[in-house]
Amino acid sequence: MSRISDPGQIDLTKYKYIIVGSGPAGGTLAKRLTEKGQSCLILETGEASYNQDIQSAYTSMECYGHYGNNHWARHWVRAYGGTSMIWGGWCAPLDARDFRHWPIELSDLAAHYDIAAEILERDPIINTYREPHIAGFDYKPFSNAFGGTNFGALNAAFLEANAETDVALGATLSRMVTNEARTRITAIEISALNGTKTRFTLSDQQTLILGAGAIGNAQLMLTPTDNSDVGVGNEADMVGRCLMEHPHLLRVARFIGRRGFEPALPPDPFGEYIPALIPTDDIYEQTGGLGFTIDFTETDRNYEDPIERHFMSRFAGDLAIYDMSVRAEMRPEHHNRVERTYGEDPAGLPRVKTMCAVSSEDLIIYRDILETLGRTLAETDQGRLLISNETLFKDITGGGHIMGTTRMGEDPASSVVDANCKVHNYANLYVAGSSVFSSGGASNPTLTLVALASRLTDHLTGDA
Amino acid sequence: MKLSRRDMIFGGSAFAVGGALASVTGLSAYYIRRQLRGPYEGHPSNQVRALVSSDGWVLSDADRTELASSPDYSVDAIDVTKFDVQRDVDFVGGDVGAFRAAGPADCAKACEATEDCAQFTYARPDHEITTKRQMCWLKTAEVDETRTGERGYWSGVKK
Repeated sequence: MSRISDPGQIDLTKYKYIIVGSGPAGGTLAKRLTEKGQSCLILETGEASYNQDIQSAYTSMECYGHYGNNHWARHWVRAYGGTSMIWGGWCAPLDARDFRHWPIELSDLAAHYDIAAEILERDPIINTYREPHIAGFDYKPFSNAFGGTNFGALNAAFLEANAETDVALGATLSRMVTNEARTRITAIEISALNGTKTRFTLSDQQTLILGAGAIGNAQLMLTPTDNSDVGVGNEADMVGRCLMEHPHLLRVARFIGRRGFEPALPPDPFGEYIPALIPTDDIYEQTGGLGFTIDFTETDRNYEDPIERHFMSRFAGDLAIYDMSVRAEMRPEHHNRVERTYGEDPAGLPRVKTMCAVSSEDLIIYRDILETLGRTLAETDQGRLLISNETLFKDITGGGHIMGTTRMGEDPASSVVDANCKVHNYANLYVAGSSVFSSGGASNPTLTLVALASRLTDHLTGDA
Repeated sequence: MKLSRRDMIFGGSAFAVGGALASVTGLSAYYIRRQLRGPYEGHPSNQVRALVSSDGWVLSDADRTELASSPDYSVDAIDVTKFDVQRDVDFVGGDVGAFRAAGPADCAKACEATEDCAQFTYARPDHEITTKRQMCWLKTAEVDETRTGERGYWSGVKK
């Protein structure tokens, strides 16, 4: 593998697949395509190590809604390895019920979840471990290996040994050119860090795959083409829409009760983990069908609250007190979106702005689920729950999870890519990453997007 | 320039009228705003509220009955060094704060923490009207009425 530092030196004819982005999506694609003997070129805006000037220049954006204050830009890393450079390493698969709004099912992805676990250096048991715990709630811990997998490092080791795949650093896809019918990408423009642009024609044998992150993919597909203001794949005005995060409500509840509420340790190969409960399928349906996880960590007693004091003495001798944190799913909404705004980045791509507001219906559903848990605990006298209204309704944070901006669907009027992650109506353009998620579920997206990238490689090489 | 007496009287009256108008406008604005906002919004007692309310706990009916008879919820929990406790007394009106308190001692503490509060009335956990139970009203020294023989209430006057 060679690292190309001047886009002008690229001989694009050498590569069958041109992959935009070197993060978990692009990195997985490159790795698996190369393993199958396919030649790839990765285009990465950033350099081998994190550069704050590049980061600021290329991720300047405006963020509104519950996720303002530059939230998304912090999780859109422009360096070799992409956002895996700052990834915390948490892994959990989606559940079967999370796919109900997707054009695929869990069974379509199961084998790829195992491949993804291997790539991310986990035991595949994390893909299936889910045990009943108390009435209404199952135990489904997340895997938390310290530090995560940096795809730059992963790729370097693997790709160094491989002559057919190259990485162009400091190279930004700055324009896509289509045929008149808008069914193929016929040429691309690559911008160097100094702004110099080079155009390359794409042959019939070449395929372009966007793995630039959910903000980056939307930005690329909102960019005007040579002869139209309508971005590639945006013919139905769906690019950028249904932007989703995972609402995090940290320490939203407090548990006072008996030891033994905490589940048993998961099996050994699980490795490091976060203990988390999820609603059973019944409770999920009854409360409105939104993903929800709640974890717990030991915390100190609060002697100021007479009700807490009352329960401290009730459960004395066996007492456990936990702070509970919720990480949940927000519904996809059309008005939550990435859009173009004034200005351009150094490559000439439009600056973007975002709106992402969590619906009050979603917050009320989280409250319902918390109350259900509280009632179960009171009825079984396992403990009592105190729910903080202020935290639930006013202290929403996120995980840095950016999803949904080029969503998967069967109908081009309400989606951007099809069940194979191919952009509707285009023969040679695909999208990888969490931007294709039709809904967010309540699991950290990395494991799922790596699995989807693995599935995409099978589809591209005809092994599906 | 020399002002005639007529000028002085005219000028002085205008000044007085102007001043009166300004005062009336200012005071009206203040009271109207206060009416619209309500007496409780933004009042310090609402910050104290967050510490003592029982809202947020998911409790069974059995829990609530038990809590009502716990010592924390008896009138004896009120600090008698700080308050003059008056059983079966309901102070009506003069409210500067109203919220649901965990117990009478918490209502008393809220009054202690609130400068405007000179006295409080607390509705007992076994008050016959369930919606009134554990309500805590913080009050000024001047109230509209003091009712005695009201079995559902405990009140306290700041010493």
